[in-house]
Amino acid sequence: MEIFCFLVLEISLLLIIYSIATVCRVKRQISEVLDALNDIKNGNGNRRILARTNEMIAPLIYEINSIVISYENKLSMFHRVEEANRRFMTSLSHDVKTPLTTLIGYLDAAYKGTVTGREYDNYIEIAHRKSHELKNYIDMLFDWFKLNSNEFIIKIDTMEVAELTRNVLIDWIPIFENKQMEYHVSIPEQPFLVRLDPDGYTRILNNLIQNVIVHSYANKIKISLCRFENDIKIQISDNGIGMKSEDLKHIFERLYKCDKGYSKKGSGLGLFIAYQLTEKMNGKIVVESEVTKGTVFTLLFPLAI
Amino acid sequence: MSNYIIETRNLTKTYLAGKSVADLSIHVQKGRIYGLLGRNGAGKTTTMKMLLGLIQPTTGEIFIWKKNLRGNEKKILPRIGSLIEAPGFYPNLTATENLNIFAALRGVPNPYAVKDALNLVHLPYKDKKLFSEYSLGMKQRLAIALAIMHDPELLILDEPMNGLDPIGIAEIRLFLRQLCEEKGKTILISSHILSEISLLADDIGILDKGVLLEEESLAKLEQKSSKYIHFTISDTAQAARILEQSFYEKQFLIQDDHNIRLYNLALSVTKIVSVFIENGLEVSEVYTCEDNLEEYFKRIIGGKEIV
Repeated sequence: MEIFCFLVLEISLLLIIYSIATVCRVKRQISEVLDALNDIKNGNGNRRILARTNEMIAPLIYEINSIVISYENKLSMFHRVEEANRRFMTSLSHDVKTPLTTLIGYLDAAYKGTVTGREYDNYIEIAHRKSHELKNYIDMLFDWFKLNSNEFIIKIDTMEVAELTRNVLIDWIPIFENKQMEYHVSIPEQPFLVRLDPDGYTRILNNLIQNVIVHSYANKIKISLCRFENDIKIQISDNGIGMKSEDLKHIFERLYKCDKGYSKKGSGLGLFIAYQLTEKMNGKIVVESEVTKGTVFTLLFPLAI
Repeated sequence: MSNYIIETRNLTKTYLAGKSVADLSIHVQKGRIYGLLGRNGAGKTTTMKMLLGLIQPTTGEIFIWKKNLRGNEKKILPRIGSLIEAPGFYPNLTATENLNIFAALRGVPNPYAVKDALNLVHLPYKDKKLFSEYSLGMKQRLAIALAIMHDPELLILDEPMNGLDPIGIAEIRLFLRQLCEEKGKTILISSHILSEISLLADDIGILDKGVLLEEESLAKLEQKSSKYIHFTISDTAQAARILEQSFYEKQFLIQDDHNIRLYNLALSVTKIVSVFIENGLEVSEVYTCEDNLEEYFKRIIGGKEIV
C-alpha cells in the first residue's frame, strides 16, 4: 500500500516537472516568436521564424512564415516596378539626352544660317533621320518599361501568320533597297494558324530586322517561314559580322551591348524586348552565329490545332 | 540613420605571429552584396570567423543588426547563413540525411526546407549517394544548401565558388544576385578573384595584410576607372554636331548643356579643341580620364597582382 502511494506520488511529481518544463519552453518560444514578429512588423520581411518539425508550435510558425513570404513576394514585385521606373527615368535622361541634343545641334546650325545650300539640305536630312531614330528609341523604351512593370497587355488570338509576316516585311523592303541590301523572302502560299498577339509578333520581327540593319554590317538578309514539326519556324539570317559565343549568351539580357563603351548604336533594348515578347506568347527564340560569317535568329511558335 | 546590417569598429585579431586583422571597420548595407577582396592570407577568413563568433576578436566591436555580437550571439547567429571552410557533414550519410540532422538541430522556416534547399543547388532529394562519394563541387553545393536552408536574412560566404565548374559558378552567381535583388537579402562574400567580385558585388572592400585599403561601391569604382575625355563647353548641341560632322565620331554622351564626354581616346584633344573654337564655341575645361579597374586595384595594394 505504502509503495503504491509512493509510486503515485513519484509519477505525479514527474508529470508536474515535465509540464513546468514544457510551459517554460513554450513560453520562451512564444517570446522568440513575438520578438521576430515585432521585427517583421517594423518592416523586416526577410525575417523567418525557425522551428523543429516535431515541435507542437511548428505548424503555427510555418504558417506565419508562409504569410510573411507571400506578402514579401508582393512587395518585391512593387520594388521591381519601382526599379523599372527608376531605370526608365535614367534611360530617358541619359540615352535620350544625347541624340536629342545632337539633333538640336543640326537644327540650330541650319536655323541660324551657319550652313547654307547643299549643306543646309544635308543637315535637314540628318535631323529628319535622327528624329525618327529617336522616336523609335522612345517607342522601344516604352515597350521595355511596360514589359518590366507587367503592363504590356498581350491578346493572344488564332492568327494567320504567313500573311501577317508578309505585311510586316512590306514596310521593310524600301529600307532594304535604300541600304542596298540584297533580300530574300521565302513564305509559302498556304496559311498557317498560330496562336499569338499580332502586335507583339510585329514588334518581334521589327526588332530582329532592325538589329540586323544596325549591327550586322550585312549586305544580304534572308527571311523564311516554314512548318517545323508542330511549330511554325521563322528564320532571319544575315551574312554580317556575326557574334562571339560569349556575347551570344547575353544578347537577350536587357541593356546588353556587344560593342562596349558608349556606342550610340542601338539601345540594348530591342533583343531583350523580342525575347520577352516571344516568351509571353509561348514561343521560343534561338540565335546561332559565327564571327565574320553571319547570324541566324530562329523563332518557333506552336501551331494552333 | 545608417542602414548597416554589419558594422565593425576597429576590429583587430592578433595571433602569436602578429596581427591577422588590424583596425578593420567594414560597413555592409541592407539588400546588397558586399565583396571582401584580398589575396590568400589577407585576413578574409579571420574576419568572417569573428563575425560568426567562431573566434573572439582581440579588440574592437562587431554590430550585426545594430546589436553588439558579444552577448547577443544566441539572438543573432540563428538569423545568419554561413559557409566557412568545410562544414562538418557525416561522410557515411546521404546529403538529405545530413541536412535533416541540421534541420532538427536548428529548426527550419517550413516543412519542405531541406527539399527546397537541395533543389536550389541542383542536388537530388532523397538520393542514395553518400556524402563521402560526392565530388568536390557537389560537396560545395551541399555546403551552400546548408547555408541557405533556413532562409536567412544575412549570408556570410567564404569563397563559395571554390571547387565549382564554370557553369556552376554562373548558376550560383545568378542565384545570389536573385536572392539580393528579388528577396532583399544581404550577402557578405569573400574572394581572391577580382573578376568574380566585380561581376557579383555591389560594394567592395579590399583587404591586404589585414588592413582595409578601400571600401567603395562598385558603381563608384567603375566610374573612377572608365576611360573618357571630358569637355566643359558653351554649347553641347553644336559640339555634338561638330564631332559627328568633322570627326565622324558617335561615341559620346551628353550630360547636360555644358558637359560632354567622349569615349574614343584615339582622337587628338588639341585638334578637337581647335575645331570647337573655330566654330565659335567656348571651351572652359578638358580632361582625360584613363584608368581601369585592375590597374586601380594593383595601385591600391601597391603594385601587386590580384589574381
